[in-house]
Amino acid sequence: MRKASVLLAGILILLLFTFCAKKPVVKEETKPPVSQEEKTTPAENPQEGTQQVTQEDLQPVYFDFDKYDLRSGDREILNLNAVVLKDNPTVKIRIEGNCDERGTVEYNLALGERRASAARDYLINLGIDSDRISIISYGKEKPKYSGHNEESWSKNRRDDFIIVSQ
Amino acid sequence: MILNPLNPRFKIFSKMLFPLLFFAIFLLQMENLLAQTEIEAKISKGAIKYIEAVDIAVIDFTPKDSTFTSQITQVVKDDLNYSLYFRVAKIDTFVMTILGNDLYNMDGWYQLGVQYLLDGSIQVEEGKLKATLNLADVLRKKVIRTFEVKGEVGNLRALAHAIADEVVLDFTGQKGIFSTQIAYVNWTGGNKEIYLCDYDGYNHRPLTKDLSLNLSPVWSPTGVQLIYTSYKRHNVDLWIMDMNTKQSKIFTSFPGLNSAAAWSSTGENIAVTLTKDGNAEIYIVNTEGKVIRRLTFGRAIDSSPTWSPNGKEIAFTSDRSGYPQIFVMDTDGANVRRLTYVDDQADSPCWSPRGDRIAFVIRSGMRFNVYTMDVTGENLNRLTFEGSNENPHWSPDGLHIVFSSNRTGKYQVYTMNWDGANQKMLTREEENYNPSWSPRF
Repeated sequence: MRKASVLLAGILILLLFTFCAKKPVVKEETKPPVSQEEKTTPAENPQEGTQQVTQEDLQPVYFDFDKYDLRSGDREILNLNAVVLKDNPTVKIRIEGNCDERGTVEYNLALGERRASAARDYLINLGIDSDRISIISYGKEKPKYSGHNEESWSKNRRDDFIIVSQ
Repeated sequence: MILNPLNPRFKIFSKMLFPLLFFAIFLLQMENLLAQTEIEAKISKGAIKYIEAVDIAVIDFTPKDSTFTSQITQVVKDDLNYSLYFRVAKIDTFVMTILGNDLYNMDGWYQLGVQYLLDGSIQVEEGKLKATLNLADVLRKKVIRTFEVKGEVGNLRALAHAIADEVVLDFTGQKGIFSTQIAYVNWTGGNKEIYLCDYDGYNHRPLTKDLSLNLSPVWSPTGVQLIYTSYKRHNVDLWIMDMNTKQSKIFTSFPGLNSAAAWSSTGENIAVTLTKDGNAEIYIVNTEGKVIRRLTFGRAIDSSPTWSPNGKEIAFTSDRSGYPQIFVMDTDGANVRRLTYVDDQADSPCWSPRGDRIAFVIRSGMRFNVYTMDVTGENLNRLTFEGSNENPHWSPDGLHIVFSSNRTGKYQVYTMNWDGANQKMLTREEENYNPSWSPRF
């Protein structure tokens, strides 16, 4: 037991150091999943039918660890993505499902595909033609953020909505 | 064994952990602590003992003053030690004193507990290397076998491996594993290509060069073909490479995922994971990639199939229990049994070619570790303790396991003995993972 507590103390000190050392390095590269800005973008689009849809008009959705069900905030994002797609009926997209680095290659491939399917099914339910949506899973093979911490992981558990044709 | 939840001692063990766990949750670093406590608990290494090593002395091959022959001798010694069938005697001043400076002093070797003596000579004949080896029985004081091995002048290590393969063949009836290869995935930060190296981590070379994501290589039972997962056509397809020509073609390309292939030991059938019917399910396809039958049904992810060597059962990962666990079924999909009952997640099963154990991984917090268990799911044996360790795959003799680990901060490929001893790093450049051990060629 004494040995354990000495070890514990050692680990705590080490952890303190790693925490202090790691935190400042983390860079914020994306906006948080739901922001005020995003809510206004699609609303501007309807009047301007000739304007091309940009990648920024289609926001990603994020998932909990080992989960593929859509959180309520993500449904709002998907509703907005659906509006963009309805207003631009020629646009075709590919939903790319991604996972964080934890877990095996194969399981994550399957999980990533479930995440992509969940979003596709939701969009189809909102009336988007299934022919306009393809899906692919990148599992944990194409991480956008390379950190080995929850900061990166939470952003890697993600569906991207990639415009494949206008 | 304490880790097995079926064991009554598991309860006591988990009670002991409880106060520690609460503390750890406050500290948000539960998994580090847990790993340490587990090491402290000194989980037993299991009671299986596959083989009793034989003591052998390897005398420097002739010509003795050549760096080539001493290099070959050294590789043969390393191979024989690695095999676990042999313990190679060190030849130092103490030994030389006992032997009276005569390396062929059989009484002396007998006194030292050495049972066999290997010597040999290397010649160049018609532009090729020719090794002539003699294996002597120390007790009977006579040469029991003489054999020849040929090799290319430019590849001394291959000649040495072939010599050691023959020695193991002589003792066990099966060739050694020293000429086997390990296929793995190399990651430079963007693309992922399949690479090959010798079993001992020498001779790394790329197999694919198509600037895509290539994953999960698996060898056919003869080693003539390699199936892997690739994104080169922008769908997750299975590709098959002819290892002689190094040419690849599509193996299966159903809509959705085509992944996680596993060859049956006869080579006639391949178990794969497909999502063509809407969800990750396991199917058996033939060598042309045509579906023969579907094995799993339902809403769960079923993936990572691995065949029992007798071809009667398939172990696989499924999250039908809420989170991924290892299951086993007959090859018609019937008679499904759950093998693991771990708190977190069990995944990545690989059935030993000996048939008696399954290697797999258990997640605890952020990290995975390699374990083995009986085919009934009992007698868990933890093999790794540092970093996160994934993707175990057996050597063709069932005595070693290749896996990937990030214990140095980056994922690299390692091998270890079946009981976790002798963990050895094979790759060093960039990041490498997802390894697969070839059969004997």
